[in-house]
Amino acid sequence: MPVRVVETSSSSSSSAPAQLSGENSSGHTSPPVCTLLTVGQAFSGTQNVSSLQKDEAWRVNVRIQGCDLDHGYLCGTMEALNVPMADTPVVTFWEGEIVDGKNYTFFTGKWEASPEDDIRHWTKFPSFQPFLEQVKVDGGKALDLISYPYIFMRWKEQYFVNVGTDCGLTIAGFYYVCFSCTDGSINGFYYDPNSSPFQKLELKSTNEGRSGFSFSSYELQ
Amino acid sequence: MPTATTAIPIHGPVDLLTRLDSSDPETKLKALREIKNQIIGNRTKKLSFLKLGAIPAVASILSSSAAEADSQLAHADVSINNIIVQSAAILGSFACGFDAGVRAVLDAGSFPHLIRLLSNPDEKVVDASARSLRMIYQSKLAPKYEFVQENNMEFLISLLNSESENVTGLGASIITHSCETSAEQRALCDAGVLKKLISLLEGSLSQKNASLESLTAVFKNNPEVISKFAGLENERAVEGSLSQRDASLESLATVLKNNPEAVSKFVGPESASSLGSIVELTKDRYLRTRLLACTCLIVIRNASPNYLQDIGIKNKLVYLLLELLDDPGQVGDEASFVFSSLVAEKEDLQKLAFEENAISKFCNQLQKGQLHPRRLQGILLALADLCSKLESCRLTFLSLKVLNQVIDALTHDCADVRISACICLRSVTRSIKNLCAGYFMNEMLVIPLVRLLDDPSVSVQVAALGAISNIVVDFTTRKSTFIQCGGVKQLVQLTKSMDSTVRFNALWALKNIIFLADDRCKEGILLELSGSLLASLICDPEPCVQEQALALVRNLVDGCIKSIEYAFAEDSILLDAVGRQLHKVSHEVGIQGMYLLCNVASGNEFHKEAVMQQLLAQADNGAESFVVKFLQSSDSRLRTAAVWVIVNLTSPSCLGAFSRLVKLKNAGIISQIRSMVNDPCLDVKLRVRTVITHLSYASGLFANLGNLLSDPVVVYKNLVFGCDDKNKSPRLLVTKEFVLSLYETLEMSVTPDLPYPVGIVHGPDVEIVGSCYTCNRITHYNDDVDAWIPIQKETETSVDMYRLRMDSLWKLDAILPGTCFYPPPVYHFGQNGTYYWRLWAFLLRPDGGELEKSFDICVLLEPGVKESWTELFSIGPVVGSKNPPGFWTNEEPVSETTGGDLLICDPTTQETKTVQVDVVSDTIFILS
Repeated sequence: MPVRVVETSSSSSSSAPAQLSGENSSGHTSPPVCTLLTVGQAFSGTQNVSSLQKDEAWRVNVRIQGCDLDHGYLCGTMEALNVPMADTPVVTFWEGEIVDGKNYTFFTGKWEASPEDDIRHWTKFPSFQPFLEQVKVDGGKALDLISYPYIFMRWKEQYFVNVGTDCGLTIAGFYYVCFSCTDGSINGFYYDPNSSPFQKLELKSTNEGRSGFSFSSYELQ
Repeated sequence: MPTATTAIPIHGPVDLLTRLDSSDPETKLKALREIKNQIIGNRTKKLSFLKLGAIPAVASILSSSAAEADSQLAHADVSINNIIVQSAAILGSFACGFDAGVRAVLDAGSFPHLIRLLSNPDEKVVDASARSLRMIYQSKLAPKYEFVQENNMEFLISLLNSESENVTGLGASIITHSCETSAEQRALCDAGVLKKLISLLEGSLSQKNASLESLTAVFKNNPEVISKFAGLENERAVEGSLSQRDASLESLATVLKNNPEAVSKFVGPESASSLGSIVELTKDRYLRTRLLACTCLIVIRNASPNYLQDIGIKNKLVYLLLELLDDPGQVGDEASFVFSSLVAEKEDLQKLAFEENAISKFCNQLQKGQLHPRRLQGILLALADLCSKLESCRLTFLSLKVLNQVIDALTHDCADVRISACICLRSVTRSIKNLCAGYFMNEMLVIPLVRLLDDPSVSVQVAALGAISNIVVDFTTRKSTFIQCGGVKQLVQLTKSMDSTVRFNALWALKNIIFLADDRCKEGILLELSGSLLASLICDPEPCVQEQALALVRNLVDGCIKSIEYAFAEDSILLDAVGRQLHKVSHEVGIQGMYLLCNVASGNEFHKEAVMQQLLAQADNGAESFVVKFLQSSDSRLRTAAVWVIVNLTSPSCLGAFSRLVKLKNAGIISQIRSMVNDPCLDVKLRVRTVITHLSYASGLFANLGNLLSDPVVVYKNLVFGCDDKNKSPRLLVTKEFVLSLYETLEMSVTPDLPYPVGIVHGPDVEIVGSCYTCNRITHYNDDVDAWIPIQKETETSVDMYRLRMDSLWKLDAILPGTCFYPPPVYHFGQNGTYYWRLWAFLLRPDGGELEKSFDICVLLEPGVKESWTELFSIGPVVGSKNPPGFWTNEEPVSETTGGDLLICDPTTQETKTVQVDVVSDTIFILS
């Protein structure tokens, strides 16, 4: 979800876009496959954008559009609803890195995030606690996350889908995300050195008026 | 007056053919020579002679002359031998690179004569026959040589042992052509063929190349043969004649192809020299030999991933092949194909090639324009393989602006080029990022692709469908571009194809279009397809077609809830087809079928009951439901899909959940699910636990529902009488799953009792177990059938929560549109065993955003008398509270918060407090 451009923020392109890792997949084990985190699944909730001056939360909808677990890759769109300076909901496209110990570790290594920033954010998730000590050592390279019922990710917005870059909003930062495989709930913290710290994203799996879960899928050839 | 011309006469084909009939051997020989000279390297001439019947004529001269020579034995007339040599040479020329010629030569029956002539004493005859046979063996039309038949192997070895270059070359060509199975590879290896082929690497250029080709065939996918090859003492120098080396390299590759065993023997510890000799040939000054050596090495590498893995050789192969690409001739054309075999399916090599700028190298070639079709095809395929896995490759490809050249190739005259252009687009359009941006959905790309769906070649159609399947995954609103240019109509036509591959791919594309499509798009497609066609595709004889058809319907019924109705169109033709089909399907088909049912089961009561009917249709006849079979599958994806169906059917917010649970229990499905509570697959385990939570809701207890359903009396006793002992400290069992896997028991203090209800008629066999905001369900336990039997709502006995709470409900509903009430009845049994009474927790579950909830605690003072409902007090509003799992035995209502903590309300003070327990949501159960 985009946030307001803060005066001091230079531009939205201060960091390199996420690249797919080209690691050899031999010996690679995919992270847990959770049906609630597959293409087509939708989530809704809020992002707290409160500042010292004002308490504020924007409604957010997310939809997963692509998933390539072998490369630790996920992508989708994020729609911010009641953005004060926009007439319509603002949609952005984001790409995600799944922390699987193989393609990506808990250390971001880019986007102006130091290992200290990483740990400060990850520890906000109670389910991260068991990994803290190991992550301090090596970012969690050796951790076995396959049977863990939470999936940790970083989501980085890449471009605005329906508004121009001159909309007064920025997508310079990225999200630390924790997904619960149990109920599909998502918690996240937005990190951008130039925005208010620890803006909390809270999303729940939605079922679009149904009394149950529905799954569609596409496959690339 | 006319005068005679002095020029040397050039005879026309008709004239020449007439001369062939001459009884004068000299005239015949001259005519043969002239034909040979005219057709050599001239396809047009070959064709015109072919049409005039030259081949049977020459073949007949060959056979009669051969017979004559046989009768003269060793003293054959020189002129007869010359005629044989010329006829054989003509037949060889016709067979060279010209399939129609090969077919005619074979049809004319020359093949056995040529073989027989290999034993002729005249070297020239042998040489000419061997050359002709070699040409024939270079065509796919040549008959298969059966190595394992009688003397065939000996004959082959004799060919390889020959002094004649053409004869050894023939031996190598036979191997290249006919060595296919690993048994044949092994037989050749055991017969010592590898040794011969290596020795040919020292021979002439032609022998060397032929040998390399045969080796490629013999090695393919056969590590055993390779390891034998490797074990050979190969100290020969590699400076043999060019022809011999090439022949040898080709054969080697054949022997090793797809044969990991052969490869391992070939490159065993003592075999550095064998392998080394081929590596050495990659530096040969002749480009074709270099290419063949690379081919051979790649075959070894692909068959036995243990060899040639070091980065040096990988780099070298990539580099060499990119270099060979610059050759303007055939070697350059073939280099791309060999490159493809190197990088196909191998991400590490694709990455390496990417770093060597392979993409820009191929793209540069593409930009040259006017390429030979074979070269164009190879380049497109190489780009397809390079872009098949890595996004970085795709992005580079797109940045080099060659998409237009690829689009142009879609309309190329040559079908192979059109196919490879489609395959290239298929790889490039795997870029999800660009798909999401709608980059590929434009008329320039879509229109020529849709036109290819009409292509006379099925292979082109299938290739085009591959690219289309990707492009139509469009998240913007541009799907209409595809529909407007007639794409959907074409695809629907292709689902009726006789060819199952076409049906499969057309359905795949339609499935992708329907993914997250809007209603208008779905309606349009279904109108075009019709329910009956779709139902017949669900029951297609080919499982892969069934799978795609089911996946299509799965996407069709997803999205807005109205979409579920599509499954019920035309008298539920689709749903019935699914139910029928699922009794007899494979895993893959079952997965799609179960997700389809899952999506339908996420609808209303009617939808859920329809799914129940499909699930239990067979179970009603005493047979096991297919769901049980799917739940027991070894494929975790199928188990997951099957459990999701049950999750949706038992969702406690629905009226009929309890009766469905009873039916599912009777069909053995619930006991199967209970046995899966520790499934090795996390996804399955979590969904199984969701079902178990639903079971708890439905029974009105957040206790172990399995126990309740299997032995309700036990639970009943525990609940009612377990509370008799006032000295016993009430206990709460908190399950802390996943994080700590600990069980904790919290001790609670006893608070004063609430006033007991009066005048209750004790009825241990009647329980209220379910409720919604419109009515309650009353059930009683029936010993005869060992089940809780729901009693349908009757005026006298029903307790109508809706009316009771009408004011509040209306009011709340108006405040929070979309609010749903979630009133699982929470039982409380009084501490005095003779009485029991029930507390109803009334939970308001807000829809999104709003996180505050209130609970109303009511007591039913007289069962069946709705006026006796009395509100005791309200809890809340509280933030983050979930459904109340129950009560302490000291009457404190307990609820679980979203954070996994416990919220406890003291009924005397009506104050709430939070106990930090830090558990995973929905895992708190209260025991007595």
